[in-house]
Amino acid sequence: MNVRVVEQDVAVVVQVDGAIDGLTAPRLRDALRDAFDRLSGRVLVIDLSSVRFLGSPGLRALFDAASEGVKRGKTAPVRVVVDEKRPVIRPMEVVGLDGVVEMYHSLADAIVGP
Amino acid sequence: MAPPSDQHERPVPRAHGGEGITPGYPRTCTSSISLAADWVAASLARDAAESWLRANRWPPAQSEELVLAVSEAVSNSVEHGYLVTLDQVNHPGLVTLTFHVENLPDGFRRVVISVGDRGAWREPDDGPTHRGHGLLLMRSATDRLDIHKTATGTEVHLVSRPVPPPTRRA
Repeated sequence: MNVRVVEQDVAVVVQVDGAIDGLTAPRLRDALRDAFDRLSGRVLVIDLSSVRFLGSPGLRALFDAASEGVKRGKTAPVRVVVDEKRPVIRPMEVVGLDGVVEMYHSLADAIVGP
Repeated sequence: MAPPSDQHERPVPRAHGGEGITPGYPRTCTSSISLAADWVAASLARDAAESWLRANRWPPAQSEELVLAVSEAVSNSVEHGYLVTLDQVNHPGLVTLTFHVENLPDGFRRVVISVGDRGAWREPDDGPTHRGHGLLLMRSATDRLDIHKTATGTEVHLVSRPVPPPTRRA
């Protein structure tokens, strides 16, 4: 798994690729913490479109990011980009993560928002 | 405890709880692998499961879910069974995976994947673990999830939904 945090005008984007499992999820958590620290009013977008595996430790990290977003009050809900890949969408649906983050099919759409 | 084999897997009532694995259907394509109990094991187990399912021409959508279930079961063994920490690489424990295809009387096939360890089993809701989601993912990926706790360890059986034989034509 690779993860990097990219700052844009209206969004801070966390770009992830590869497999998010117990081994790699801690690095995703670090990146998310870093992104929240840099947010200053911007929206947080987590781009999972290059992720090919998402297990429970990754789902937990995303849930925690969603709660952190809520806790910070004025911040808009966390936005997640997924493409059509079932190995990412399916687990998110099974645990109900799709109900607590905003889901988008492209990074551009996610940055623009609803 | 000997690694599970197809002989041992048959109708045997288990000593501790569980309804036991469904008996008697002929099993083929058996494959087995033992992995050192560390945090890379889940990734190796996913690769092994993926190759085996592809070799048996299992439908891709179901394969993806089974790979996820295998990954979760192995993670449980490492994290909760053996209590291996993230930086620990020389744990003596093993996680053993056994893959079978079960040939059902109606010609359909299903996959039975066993994930065994010799660690302790702790209840899924003990504290802030990932296991609640892990169990949910394993259940949703399978027709049946059996967890056998024994005196020596834990064995998880993942039983897939049946699929039609690959060569059958409409």
